[in-house]
Amino acid sequence: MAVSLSKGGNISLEKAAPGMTNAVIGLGWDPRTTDGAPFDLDASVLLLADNGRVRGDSDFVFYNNLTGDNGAVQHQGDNRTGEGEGDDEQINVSLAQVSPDVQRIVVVASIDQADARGQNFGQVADAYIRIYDADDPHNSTKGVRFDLGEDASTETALIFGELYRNGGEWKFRAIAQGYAGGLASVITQFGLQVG
Amino acid sequence: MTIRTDLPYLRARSLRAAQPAPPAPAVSPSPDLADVAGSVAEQPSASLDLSAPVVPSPAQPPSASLDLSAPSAPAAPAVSASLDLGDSAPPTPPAGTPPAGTSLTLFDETPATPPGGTSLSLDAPSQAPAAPSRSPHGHTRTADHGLGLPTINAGERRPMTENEPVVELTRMQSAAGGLDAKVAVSNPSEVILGLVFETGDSRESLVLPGLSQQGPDPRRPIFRATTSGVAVNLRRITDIHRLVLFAVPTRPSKQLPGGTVTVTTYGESRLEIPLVAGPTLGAQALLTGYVVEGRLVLRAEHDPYSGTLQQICAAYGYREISWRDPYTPLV
Repeated sequence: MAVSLSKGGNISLEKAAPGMTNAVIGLGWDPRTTDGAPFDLDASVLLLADNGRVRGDSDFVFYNNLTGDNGAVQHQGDNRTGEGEGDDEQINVSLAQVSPDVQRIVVVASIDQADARGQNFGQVADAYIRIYDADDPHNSTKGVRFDLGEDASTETALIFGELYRNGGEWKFRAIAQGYAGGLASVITQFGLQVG
Repeated sequence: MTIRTDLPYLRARSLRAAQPAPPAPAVSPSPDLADVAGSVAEQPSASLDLSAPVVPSPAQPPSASLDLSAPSAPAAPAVSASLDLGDSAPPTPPAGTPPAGTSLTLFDETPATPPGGTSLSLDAPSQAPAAPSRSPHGHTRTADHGLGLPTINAGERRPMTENEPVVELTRMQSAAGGLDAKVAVSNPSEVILGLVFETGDSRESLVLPGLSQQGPDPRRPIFRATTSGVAVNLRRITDIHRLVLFAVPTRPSKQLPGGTVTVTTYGESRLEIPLVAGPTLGAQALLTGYVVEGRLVLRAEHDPYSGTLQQICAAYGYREISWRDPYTPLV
C-alpha cells in the first residue's frame, strides 16, 4: 500500500518507492455536480533553485509550457473537465535528469477563472496528489499519496506539495497551502511575472 | 631584352610573400562573402583581387578573385567565390563552422537592428537561440527558442507604430487571463471591432458583434464580442493558431473615425494601435496575431488598403469562410 501522508508530512522517495528514477506526479479531483459554470482545474509545477525562485520563465511548467528543465519535467497535458477515472492531470519527472541547480519542484493546482465563476477549492471534492513510479505504475505498494480532504475552502490556487532534494535524495512534502488570488498570486512569489 | 616604358605601373608591383599551400584543399564552391579577403592567392578561385598585383606562383593556379581589401594572411583554405567589402581580414570562423558558408556579411560589425523588428538582415539575430549543448549531468539541453522580438512588461503601454509594429508576449502573458481589444474614439458607435481566427484544429470563423457573439464553440468560447470590442480567452491559447483584429465602420459612408484601438493583457500591459480616419471599403485590418511556440506574437498591420470584410479575410489567408455577401459571413 502506498504511503499516505498528512499535511506537513514528508517522506523519502527512496523509501516510498525504492529504485524509482522516473516519477509521475498525479493529481485528481472531482468537479462540482450542481448547476453552474464548469470547473477547470490546472496542475503546474515550478522548478526552484536554492534561492527559492525560478531560474527563468521556462521553469514554470504548465498548460502553455509542457516541458521544463530540458525535458526532465513533462506535463502530460490539460484535462478540462476532471471527469473520468484516475488522475486528472499528470506530470512526469525524470529525477536523475533534473538539473543539479533545481532544488525544489513545487506542485500547484489552480482553478481557471475562479473569481469570474465564483469557484474555489472548497467546492472541489476528493482532491489528491500522489507520486508513483512511472516504470512500475501498477505496483500499489510503491508511492506516496496525500489527500487534501477538507483543508481548502475559499482558495483558488493551492500548493499541493513539493519534491525537494535532501542530501543526495529526493523527498516529497505534503503542503496544502492555499491562495485566494489564483495562480498568479502563487507564481509571483517565486519570481515570475504574470503579465 | 627591350625595356618597355609604356607600362610604368608595373614598377609598383610587388611580390606577395609565398604562402604554403594547404595540404589538401577542399574544393567547394562557396558563396561566402566573408571568406574572401586575402584568401585568393593560394586556391583556385573565381574571385577578383583588386589589391596590389601579384605574380602568380607556379605552385598556385592563377586567380581571378575579387578582393577589395588589403592583402592579408589567408584564413580559409577552401575555394571561395565570396565578396568581402569589409576593411579588415575576415574573422576567423568559430570552431565547427564549415569553411564554405553562405553568409552575406558586408560589414564586420553587427548591424543595429531597430527594436521594431523590421530589419531585413539575413544574419541571425543577436539573440539567436543557442545551439543545443550538453548539460553537466549528461542530457542534451534544448535550444532556447527565444523569438528575439520586442516584449512588453506588466503595466507598460506601447504604441504600435509603423517602425515598431511587433510585440511578443511571454508564455505567461500569452496564457494568463484574456486579451481585450477596445476602441477609443469620440463616438464609439461609429466603429465596431471583430476578429477572424483560425483554431489549432484548423477551424476558421469570425466574431462580429450583432452577428456572431462568440466562437468557435458557443459552450466554451475562446473569442467573444464585448460591449466595446472583442476579447480572447488566453486560457485556451493552446487552441489558437492565429487571428486578425479588424474594424468595421458603421456609418453608411463606411468612413472610419480617427482614434485608437487598445489591446490589454492580464498584467495590464496596453498596446495601442492607431485608427486612421478615412473612407474604407467596409473593413480595415488592424492587428494580426500568431501563436509561435506558445507565445502570442502581435503585429499592428498599418495596412494602407481596406476592403470588404470578405476581401480582408481573404487577403490575410482566411479562405475557409463562407459568405452571404462580401460584408456578411455565414457563421
